[in-house]
Amino acid sequence: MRKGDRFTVLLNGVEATAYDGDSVAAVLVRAGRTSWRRTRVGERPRGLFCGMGACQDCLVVVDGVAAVRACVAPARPGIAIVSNGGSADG
Amino acid sequence: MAEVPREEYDVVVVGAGPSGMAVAVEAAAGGLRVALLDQGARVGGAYWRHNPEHLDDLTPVALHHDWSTFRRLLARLQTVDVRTEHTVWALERLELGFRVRALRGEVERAPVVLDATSVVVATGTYDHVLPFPGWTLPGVMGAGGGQALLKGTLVAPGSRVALAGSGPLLLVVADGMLRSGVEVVAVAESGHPTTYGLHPSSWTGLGARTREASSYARTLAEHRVPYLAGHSVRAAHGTDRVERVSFATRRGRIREYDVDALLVSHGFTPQVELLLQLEPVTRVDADGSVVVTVDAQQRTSVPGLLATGEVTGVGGASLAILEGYVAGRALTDRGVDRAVLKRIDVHRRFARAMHSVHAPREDWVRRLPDDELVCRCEEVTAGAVRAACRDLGVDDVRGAKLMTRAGMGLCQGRMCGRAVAELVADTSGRPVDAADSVRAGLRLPATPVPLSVLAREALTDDDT
Repeated sequence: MRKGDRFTVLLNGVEATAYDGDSVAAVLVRAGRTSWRRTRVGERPRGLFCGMGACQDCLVVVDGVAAVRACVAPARPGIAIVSNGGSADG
Repeated sequence: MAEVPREEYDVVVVGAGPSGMAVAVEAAAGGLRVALLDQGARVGGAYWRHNPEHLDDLTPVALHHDWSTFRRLLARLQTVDVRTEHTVWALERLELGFRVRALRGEVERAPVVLDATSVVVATGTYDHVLPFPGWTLPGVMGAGGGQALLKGTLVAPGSRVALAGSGPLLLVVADGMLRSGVEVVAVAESGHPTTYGLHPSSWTGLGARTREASSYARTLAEHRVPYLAGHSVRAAHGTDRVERVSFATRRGRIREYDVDALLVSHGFTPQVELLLQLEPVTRVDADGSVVVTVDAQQRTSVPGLLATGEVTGVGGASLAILEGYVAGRALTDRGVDRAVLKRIDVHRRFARAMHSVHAPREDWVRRLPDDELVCRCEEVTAGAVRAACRDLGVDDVRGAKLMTRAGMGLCQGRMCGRAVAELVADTSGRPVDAADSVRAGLRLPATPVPLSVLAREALTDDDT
């Protein structure tokens, strides 16, 4: 269906499919996720909000680097995305 | 510690959307050495956000507008040093020209330093979303942001979505979602678009815009999507994500829909943060946003610093491209046709009518309950800000920030700045003042920067 190249990334240690042109957020949303971190004070779930790199709501850990904007970071083959501290359903 | 190499250009253009692309192409055509920076992975900005596979498609793609202009500009970028995945966090004045500091790669975060004789800021806008009960639930997001996700990655923000807020963008996004097979349950527009009739000349000379508007109306009708004029979002409901939304008229008539996404836009907030670092003259535009004042050549009050597109007043991509063209030519002392200037006037006149028709409902502040968050990052409630005004004598944004931490979090007040200003003004019983909004936008760095980078660049600057 998709013409774009397909590749694999690790989402909390589990293989997930990504396509050329994906952002990290696209991988997460395609995997059925609407949130991927909790706030510090109220432990409220957060995912995409502004979708433009401004709000910092969609922060996620990529290849061990914290506070990566999922809506800005491109998905690349083999990257390791860790949400909510990495629990399988987190 | 290795020094960050400095590269030199005649012009650095920040933002590779329609306006920035036009500036870069025109300046390079005039013989200048130009760098075009964007935080995104591809050029085009939010307006021409595209998936790589769209580039194989020579015919205009259903999701895109004015795609042939994009292709033309893209082809002419060959003489421009295009630097995607560069997030600019500081602009500084040098004795001659400017220093631009950026981070390359959202994960890699490699420091980049560029020096340039002139800088053009064309950083565009993001959705202005006013707070309402449930606005922090996952699945509630900016309408432009939801559209960018769809256009850039072909992933939809939901399967059953509603749109709410005010402005032509709601129709554009609804159209794109429907064409991509997403169910759109309703579009709630808090304004009354029939009041465009009060500005009869605003559509003059904008045939393409008129045709576009009627094509959206047709798509909505074909899919039987209700367009609810005069309806504002009252609340988003759900536990860990949005499950249901309610819209209400001013008289309190309520409609509810089950959804898995709510896309909201109450207009736009221009990204003027970088510009404000150099303290150019600013003004408050008709839509309440802080924008930078420019002359007929797109020059700001700071010599060598130009601004184009939405940061000089929200007016849409066609206007932004024209302004980019003017700025690109001004950089090499080339003038433009009178026809171009006339075109710019036509678009600006339409923008003024648009801001007046689609003004967000003024009573949102009074409707916001005390227990709802106004600052998403620091999780500060409306009640906390109101209490600071009533009990602690706070009467401006800075005071609210110091006493409640509203606007002190990761987004540095980008999301809540305008809302806090209105909330403080309302509670203190005075009108929103422009200076307050400007202060809300003052911040350095313009984006979170690792301390290691700050330390390293402070060290390497000792020998300047």
